[in-house]
Amino acid sequence: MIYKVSFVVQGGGHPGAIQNMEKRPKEGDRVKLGDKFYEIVEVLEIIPSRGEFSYLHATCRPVEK
Amino acid sequence: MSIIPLLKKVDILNGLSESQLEKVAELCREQTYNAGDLIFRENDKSSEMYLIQDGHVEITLNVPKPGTEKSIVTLGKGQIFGEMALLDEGPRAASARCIADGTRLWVADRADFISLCEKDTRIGFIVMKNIAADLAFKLRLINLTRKEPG
Repeated sequence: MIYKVSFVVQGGGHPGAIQNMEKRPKEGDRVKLGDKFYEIVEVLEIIPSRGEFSYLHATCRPVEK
Repeated sequence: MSIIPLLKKVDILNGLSESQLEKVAELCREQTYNAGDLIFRENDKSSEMYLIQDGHVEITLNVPKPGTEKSIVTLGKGQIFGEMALLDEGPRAASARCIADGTRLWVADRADFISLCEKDTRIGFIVMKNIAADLAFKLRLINLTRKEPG
């Protein structure tokens, strides 16, 4: 399964991004978007999977330094 | 090298048979870039879609401060970018820059792709249905981003 994930970043510091992942993301995971790291706080499956593709929305927050 | 295994990982081609994917593969030509190479710039006219065979590509957006860019995401093997060019030939929504030496991309030209979709309407239907779903997914991202407290 390929997970196509749209990332929404809390706080407005990042416009969001879409990335393909081989592993399903989960709360607490850290992802790198551009040159910064973010922590996933919520993962939603809003639309059903199609074929080998699963479509997820993940809300993230900046990782504090 | 066969591109077919990679094409099977591209969601806008989801549902195409092996023989249909071979027709798509015939449209693709390989290009190699090195770290720092600009693939396209935001607001450039668009006519090509890219698929990453190996390496990494950074997508960046211009920010209000002149001459500065914000890194949005880094893409790797099996990911496509510039796919909106297949639909509208509008200006690029972001810039794409190679960040790894020897990054190999497959490039498909819009005119060739549209021609294939017109000749083989089953391919055309499946691909356009997938692109429509992809656009809906992106719209949902925009809607969710707007709802997020700033």
